[in-house]
Amino acid sequence: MRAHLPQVWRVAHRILRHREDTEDVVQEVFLVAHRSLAGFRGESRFSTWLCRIAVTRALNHLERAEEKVRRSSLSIDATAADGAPDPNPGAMRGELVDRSPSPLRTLESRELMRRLRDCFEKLPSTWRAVVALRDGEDRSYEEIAAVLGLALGTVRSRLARARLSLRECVGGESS
Amino acid sequence: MTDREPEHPRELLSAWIDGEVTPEERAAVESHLAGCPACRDLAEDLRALSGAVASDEPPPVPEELPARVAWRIRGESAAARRGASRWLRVVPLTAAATLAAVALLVTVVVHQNSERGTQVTPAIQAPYPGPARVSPELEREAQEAAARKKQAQAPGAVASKRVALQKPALAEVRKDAGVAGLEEAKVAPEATSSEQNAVPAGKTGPPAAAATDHAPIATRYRSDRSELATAKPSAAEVAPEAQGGAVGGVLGGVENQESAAPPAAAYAPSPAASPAETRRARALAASGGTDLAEPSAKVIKGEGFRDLDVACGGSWSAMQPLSWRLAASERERAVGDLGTLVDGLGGRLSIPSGPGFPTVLTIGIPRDGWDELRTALKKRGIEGVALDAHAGERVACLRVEIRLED
Repeated sequence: MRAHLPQVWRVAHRILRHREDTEDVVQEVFLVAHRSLAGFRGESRFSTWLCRIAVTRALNHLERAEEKVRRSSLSIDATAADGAPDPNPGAMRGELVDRSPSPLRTLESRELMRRLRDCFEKLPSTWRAVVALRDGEDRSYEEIAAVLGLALGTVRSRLARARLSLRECVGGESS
Repeated sequence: MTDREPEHPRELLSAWIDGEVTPEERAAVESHLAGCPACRDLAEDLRALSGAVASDEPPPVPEELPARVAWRIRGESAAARRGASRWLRVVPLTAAATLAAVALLVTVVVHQNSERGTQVTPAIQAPYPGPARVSPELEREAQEAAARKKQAQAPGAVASKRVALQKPALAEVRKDAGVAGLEEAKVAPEATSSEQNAVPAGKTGPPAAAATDHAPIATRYRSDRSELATAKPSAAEVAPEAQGGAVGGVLGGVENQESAAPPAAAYAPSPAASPAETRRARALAASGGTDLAEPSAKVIKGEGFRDLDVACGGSWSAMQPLSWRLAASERERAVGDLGTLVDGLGGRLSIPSGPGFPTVLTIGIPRDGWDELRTALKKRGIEGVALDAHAGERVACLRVEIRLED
């Protein structure tokens, strides 16, 4: 357990962004893993299996607190092609209107991180998971697809949408 | 490039910065970037964002989390073991309930027979619910056998012999009843004491072994004799623990037990309850209905602490914690073991949230489990545990501060 705890902790925290929630979810993850150990068929690496449980549990936890997303100032009316609500539908349309230097790169790093965290919490939970696994945990698209049970193309499009939404959100707050 | 992004390959840009594109896609993106400053800006932004997310490291794993996880896993394993033993306990409780029903049934039958002027000897009353449940053929056979023996024996012995001769009839009826739990009742050691508690010896109850044999017969008899079934108490009325067991089967009784924790006000110890169950139920009542032995409630936060406050009388939280010196390498196992012990006594051990050791554990325990706890704590080198200093009416509480040795 000790060997895998840091990984589970990191993944869960990157999705949840809340210490107490993460503690609860991590405990859940290991309890579930303990119960299901007999059912682990070795089709994937143990760490991938554990990571999948962690992501699923974290997403379930977020779903239970979905009102947090609804409190977001961003619109979630539109629904992305892959089923997740798109907080920033314009981001994928190839509209590059603002040609001024990106506010993202002019922000002081502490302010950037503050905004990034705020904006991250506004993302649909499934998008958070993709960003957390790719940018946070440096997982390949293939690994992410295995953990989340998605097609490679879905991982790619979901990640792109999430990043573009984050960019719009972080940059938009400065204008 | 996809159809959706004829001018600016935004989705591909995201994959391109990750190196997750095919050679053809890479060539297309790079060709586009060469002539599109906006997309170059976008690619830079995406890189910056990706880097920012990566650098936003989660906090380190809380030091006490491994112990908490280990403890919860142990708790669940212990609960699973308890669940299995509870399963075995429910069967005798069900048997005790049906036995009580049999006793009442016998009384009713005897009363009816008396009103009709039928003579029923005391020797027959006790072990048998009544003659009506025995098939006429078996009854006749028994009577014939009794008649054959009658000439060779004294008249006073007829009644007891008749009991012995009817044993095969009982076995046959039991087989028909098909109560699988009966066999379990036989192997559960608690069956004897429970049933003896439920039916005082020497009155309407037979010896424990006979009681076990008769339990399923009551079920059969109840369905065969509906007019009598309405006149006797249900299993639930006799023993709440057995609710659902006698009618719905053994498993039904377990499910009811699992899902329907009694409210504190409704708690009334069953005479058939084991000491551990009684302790647990008392603690439950004292804690305002929170099940102290529920594994998921062992790590208490927020609301849970207030429950313990109430249960412990309020002033306990100001008490000086007892000191527990532990090697750092030992703490995980030691705390887990203590948790299992407290759990077994029907109490609750809480590991408060917060970073780092040493930390203060809180233990709430039913008062009648106190001596055992004190002995166990003493063995662990935790001294100075006095019950009166920090006990509520039914639940005693104490705090233990873990001090790590290096």
